[in-house]
Amino acid sequence: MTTSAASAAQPQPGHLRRQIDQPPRTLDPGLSVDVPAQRVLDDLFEGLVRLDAAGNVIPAVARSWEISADQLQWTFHLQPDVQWSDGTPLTAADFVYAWRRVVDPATASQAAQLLAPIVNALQIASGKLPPEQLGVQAPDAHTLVLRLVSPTAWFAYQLSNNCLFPVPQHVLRAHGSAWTRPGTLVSNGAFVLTDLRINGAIQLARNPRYREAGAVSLQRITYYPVGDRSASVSRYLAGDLDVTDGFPIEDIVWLRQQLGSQLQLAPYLGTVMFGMNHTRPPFNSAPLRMALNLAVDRELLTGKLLQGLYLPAYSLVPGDAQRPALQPEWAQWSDEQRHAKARQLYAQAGYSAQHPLRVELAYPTSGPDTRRVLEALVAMWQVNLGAEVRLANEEWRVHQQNRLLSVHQLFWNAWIGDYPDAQTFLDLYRDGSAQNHGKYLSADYERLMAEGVATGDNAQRQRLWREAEMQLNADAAYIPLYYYQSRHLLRPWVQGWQSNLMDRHASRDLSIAAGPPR
Amino acid sequence: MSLWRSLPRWSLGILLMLVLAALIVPWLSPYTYFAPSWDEIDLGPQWHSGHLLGTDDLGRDLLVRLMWGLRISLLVAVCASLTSLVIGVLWGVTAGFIGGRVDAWLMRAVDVLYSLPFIPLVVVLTVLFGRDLVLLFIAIGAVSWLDIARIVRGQTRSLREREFIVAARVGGLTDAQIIRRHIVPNLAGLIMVYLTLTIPSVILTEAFLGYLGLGAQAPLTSLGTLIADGASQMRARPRLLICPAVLLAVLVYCCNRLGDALRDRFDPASQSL
Amino acid sequence: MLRFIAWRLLAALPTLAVIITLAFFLLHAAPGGPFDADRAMVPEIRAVIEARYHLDEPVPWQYLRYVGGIVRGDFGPSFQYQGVSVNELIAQGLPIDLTIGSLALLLALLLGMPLGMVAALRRNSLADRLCTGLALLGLSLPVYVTAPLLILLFAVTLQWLPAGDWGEGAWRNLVLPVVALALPYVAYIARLLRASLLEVLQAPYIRTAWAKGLPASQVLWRHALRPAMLPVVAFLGPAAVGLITGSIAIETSFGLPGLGRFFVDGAFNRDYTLVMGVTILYGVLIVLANLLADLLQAWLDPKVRL
Repeated sequence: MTTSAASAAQPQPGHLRRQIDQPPRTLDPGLSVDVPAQRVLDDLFEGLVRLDAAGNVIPAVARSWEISADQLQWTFHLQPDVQWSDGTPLTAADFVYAWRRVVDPATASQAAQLLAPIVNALQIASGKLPPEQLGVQAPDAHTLVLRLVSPTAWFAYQLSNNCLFPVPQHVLRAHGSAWTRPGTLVSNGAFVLTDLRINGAIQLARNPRYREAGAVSLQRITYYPVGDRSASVSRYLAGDLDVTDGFPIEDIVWLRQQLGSQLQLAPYLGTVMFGMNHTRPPFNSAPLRMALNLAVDRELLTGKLLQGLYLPAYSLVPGDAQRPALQPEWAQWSDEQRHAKARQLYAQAGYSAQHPLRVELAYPTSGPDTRRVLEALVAMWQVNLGAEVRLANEEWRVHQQNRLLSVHQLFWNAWIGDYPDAQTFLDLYRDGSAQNHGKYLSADYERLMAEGVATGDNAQRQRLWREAEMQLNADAAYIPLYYYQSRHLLRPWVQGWQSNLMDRHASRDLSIAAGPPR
Repeated sequence: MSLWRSLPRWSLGILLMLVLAALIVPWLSPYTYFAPSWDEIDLGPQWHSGHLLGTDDLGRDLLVRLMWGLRISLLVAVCASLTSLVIGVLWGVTAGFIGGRVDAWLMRAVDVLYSLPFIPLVVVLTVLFGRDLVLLFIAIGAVSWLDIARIVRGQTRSLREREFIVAARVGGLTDAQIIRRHIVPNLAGLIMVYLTLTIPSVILTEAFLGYLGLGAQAPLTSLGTLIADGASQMRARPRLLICPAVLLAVLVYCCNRLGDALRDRFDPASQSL
Repeated sequence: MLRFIAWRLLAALPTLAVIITLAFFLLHAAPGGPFDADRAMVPEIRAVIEARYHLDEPVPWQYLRYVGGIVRGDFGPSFQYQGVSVNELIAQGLPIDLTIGSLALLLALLLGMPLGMVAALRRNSLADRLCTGLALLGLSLPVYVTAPLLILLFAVTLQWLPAGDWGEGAWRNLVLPVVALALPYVAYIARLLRASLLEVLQAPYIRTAWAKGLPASQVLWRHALRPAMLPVVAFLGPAAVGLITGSIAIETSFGLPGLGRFFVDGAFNRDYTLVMGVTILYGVLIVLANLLADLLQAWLDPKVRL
């Protein structure tokens, strides 16, 4: 039935139809922090650098840059003749204005802490310094000088993040907060905004004034916010969408049969793990934490239940092309060996069949996917250890709030990396980090992290990160479950798409092939 | 025609069978509703292993999950209906019996509440009160009592003027005694009708909440949650949607038939649904 | 009649007051706020955001501020969608709901009335049982079951119709949502009309008409139908309520940018102003629907005095 449906769909020449999971909360690049908005903003705007289809940092508005010997000063040379979509020339001053605006408390941008590596950024955000003190200057119209607090190699990636895009000062001064409407929105990217309906379609059209307009083959893009994964698959099968931003786990076997290579699965920089509160019983006991950790049958979970959709995780930081993910030695043990050790630690922590562990696992409402994984886990802990874990579903907002307040004992947690370096994950467990919900604290860990941040030698830093991660694993600071993979449905006539670790796919690199699908 | 003869046999029979099945089947079956079974994922219906309806994507027996879902749905439905019944009868009897300004104010309140968009408020209530099943009953019950209140009030008012009540008053019975001994028993038929009619609408309301993700706590399930899960897997495993949907439809259908028949018997002049 | 309308609108004010107050305090009592996120915010920035949206004030004060805005017709800024006011969101979503709701009601009448009439005229025959059975089936299947089934059949398999999206109101995008929404109402209307027609047909003046030898069609259309429609018209009020709540499921299944989705997303994201605005609007719609129902009843049945 559906094989014919899948092949009866036709491409619309020059018109790409993409799905996003939520409507963007705002199209102001300095205010936006959600992924759906990032997709649209990657098409509307362009920063100093951008990511090519494979996810590498390449020059964009900046044609070249130099980094000083101490790695604290970066000098960018902008392309001459870059324009905004209304013809106004784009200069380095637009970047300075945009970045100051993001850290200015009056703007109330939730993206402010992403600029933390820049000198004075955090002080400005907390109101102690005026925005003019931000460590970025524009000595002339085509030069930008950036000063960092410490050597931060991954900041090159961060420059492609939407909060560091330039904004058109002249438009903001004229229209204030209404500048992001279609008709007034002025952008410098490959496309311009022609129509926007909240919760409805977002229409983009080719920007003839784009810096490299000749390289852009698409004429039109439409973004459809479809919240329900299953509904988005229906729309795709019916021929209304060319690309989806995901598909439901339950459908994966069936989709593989019907659509074959239209299923795109690729490693993604994200980890799902359980957090535990280290300051209170029962999880202030390291043997108990380790016991629960060992009792999870990850291969079973990701292989049988999730049908290979995600990858089993034995440690915090996902692997990438350069370096596989860390695996503690017990990852190689047989199931019996691992379960036996788990039971031994469980008994050591003082629990038994007569006195089992009774605890609640808090998780946010997010659809059937997560719920089934958790039901399976609860059963695993029951069978392998005799522990009685009860599921406690909380609505998203409630869960977030409780997590931030460290109310939970055992809770679901996930982190998507902000940039391709282990630090984005390791920062979660530093003392004082707002994301350290379990209040993990280790002097050794703090020392390793401080050294890593201060050193300018990248190889040394990566070694320190590894040691820090091993420290976390030895302390059973968390229970890693699996690494995300990005998943898309992609029509064969969409060309130029490459899977990359950060799952960024700007439409300027894509095109629609004419003629029948191959 | 006696009460028994006026009832639709099939609907009553099916309902009783369903209730019986919900109670007995999970007890008889070797499978539980929550334990995943990795080797039995996605099986179709088969006799030899006892998976009469097959399994779901965690390898759990579908029939047992359905019966548990039915239990929860029925539990919520009955409790919520009883809650709405209690509130509605109290309200209606008070308004109808006392009459005058009290009646006017109470019924005015009902009119005001009638215009409230209830489902949105129930959504907010369940978001607020979370997963507690008891609070779910109360929330749903609290929004379903208006019709009962109106009908009961009307009936009480007409009863109040009847001769036997007047006689009772003359005979020296207090108001409370009159209500207890004469009014309420005469409301019994009406109450039965509206109870039977409220149950399906409560089931549908609860199913809707389950669909929104606000239903019973996992791994417990209700018909609504089963349907929501099934709808999301509709292409790959249509069985998971069809079975609970059919069950829900049959349940609601039979309750409505029963309620219709009861209403024809007790309140033939009624014009409502 | 104008006095009647004015009086009813005035009498609706207490209803609205209750709605506003109840919804406001319930929403604010729910744990979690609109600006909680996975990434904790710099405390000073959080303070600025909260001050901007007046979330740092005591709740009763916020309530008074909100009511003051309502009186001026300002529903406030949306908390989720930055820079957009609730008035704009409502202006965008309301036409969609009204279109789909009224089309669904129309369809329900067009399908339900014949079903009810056939069932009443051929009482207890096979046709009657079939019609009432179908009607009851329509009632028993919730919208969120029929919608995905319709999509599966007509959009994915047969590819006759789009699987979702408003598409600027093109008729092809309207078909499936309207049909899915209308189905339960076909059932309600059919049942109502059948029951009421049965009763009307027993009335003495109808017997007289039969006795006079009038053809069946005249008896039906000229004499029986008008009074029989009264309960159907009275149903318009509750129907409006049901269409509204049904629209929530429809909009989610079909991805329509209407008020129902705003409401649900808003409730989950604690967009207080948006949820309040939509709730109030629902209340207003229900009051208007009830008013319309009463006016229609008066027109149909001269005995009903306003």
